[in-house]
Amino acid sequence: MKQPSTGTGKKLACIAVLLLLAGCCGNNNVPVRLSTLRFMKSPPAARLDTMPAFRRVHAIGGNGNLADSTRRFITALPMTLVADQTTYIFQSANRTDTLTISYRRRLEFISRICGAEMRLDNFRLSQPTTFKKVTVSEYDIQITL
Amino acid sequence: MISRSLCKLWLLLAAQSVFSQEVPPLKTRTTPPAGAWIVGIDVSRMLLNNAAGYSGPYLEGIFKYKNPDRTRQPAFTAALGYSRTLHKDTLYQNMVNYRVEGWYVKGGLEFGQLNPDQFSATFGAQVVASSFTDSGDFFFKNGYFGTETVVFRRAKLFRMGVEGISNLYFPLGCGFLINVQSRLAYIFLTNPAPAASQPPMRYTPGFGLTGRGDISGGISLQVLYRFGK
Repeated sequence: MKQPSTGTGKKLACIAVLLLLAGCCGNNNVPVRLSTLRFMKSPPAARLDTMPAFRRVHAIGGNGNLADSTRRFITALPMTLVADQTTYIFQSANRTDTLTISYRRRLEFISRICGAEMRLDNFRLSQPTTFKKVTVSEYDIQITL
Repeated sequence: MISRSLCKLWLLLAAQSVFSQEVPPLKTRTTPPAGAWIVGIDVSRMLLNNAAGYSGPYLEGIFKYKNPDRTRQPAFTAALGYSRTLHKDTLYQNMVNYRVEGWYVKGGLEFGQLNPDQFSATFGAQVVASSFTDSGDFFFKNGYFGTETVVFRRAKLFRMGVEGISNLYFPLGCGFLINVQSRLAYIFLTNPAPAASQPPMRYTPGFGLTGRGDISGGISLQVLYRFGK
């Protein structure tokens, strides 16, 4: 049986070390974020089957449209890291609504190799917000229409 | 005959009085005179602060006093410094532009023969106190918002430590001399103490590169000038 050469062994060891380092760091540049924005119908409180007719949803300071007509909610709601709150604008054919979520930012230094990551927590509803009923929890936001 | 005898007696008495006079002792110095006041600047810190990725002004004024009449007494040494340092390159995975700005003072004693007129060596210890601010730019690839930069800043930092030093003095003539100083410092106080979730204080004015550890050291080149004798 042929034994692997010393050079191959060294290469494998290097790859293993690199994988370990990558595993340690994880994806630390991506911040921890509040995940889902859901829309509820009132009364009774039930999830809407379709996305309300917002033709454009965007966050101030961001780029692009967050609205997706094929989904009933927005996953991975983006939040800016340069301020303690993010304001979202919801535009439909006949009106414009605003939602503002504030939060606490915590910079966590991991290591010299991995750098730091930003953690967000303590989410709460802030002004300006025009939606009548909004529930904010650690993992999602529910807007009752 | 009598006059001859009297003359001999006078000569004898005169000679005795001359040799019996107390001769004042000669004032001699076993060691050359030591300089009284020595002032100077640290040249190497100015140069090194603009090398290895760092840039910015670094000024350190040095003051030494040696009592010229008491060669065995230790010399007093002190320094006052100001540093503004910028490290533009990536210091950690997602941190750039590490900035440190602050003042520091040093004071202590040097033992050994500090003689500005010839090569001499001393060793000593001094206390170092540093007051500074550090900051850095962390960048995050935040998808929808693009790459965002968050400034991390710590103000009113204070660190204190003790520094063991050894000096090698080389006279240049005309009162000037060069000192090659080796130093090893231990920082025993950091206020406020950094939390584990904060990046380390990579650089501390007066101490140099520090990192998360409490030990720092280095070699400095100082140009000095002696006042008085």
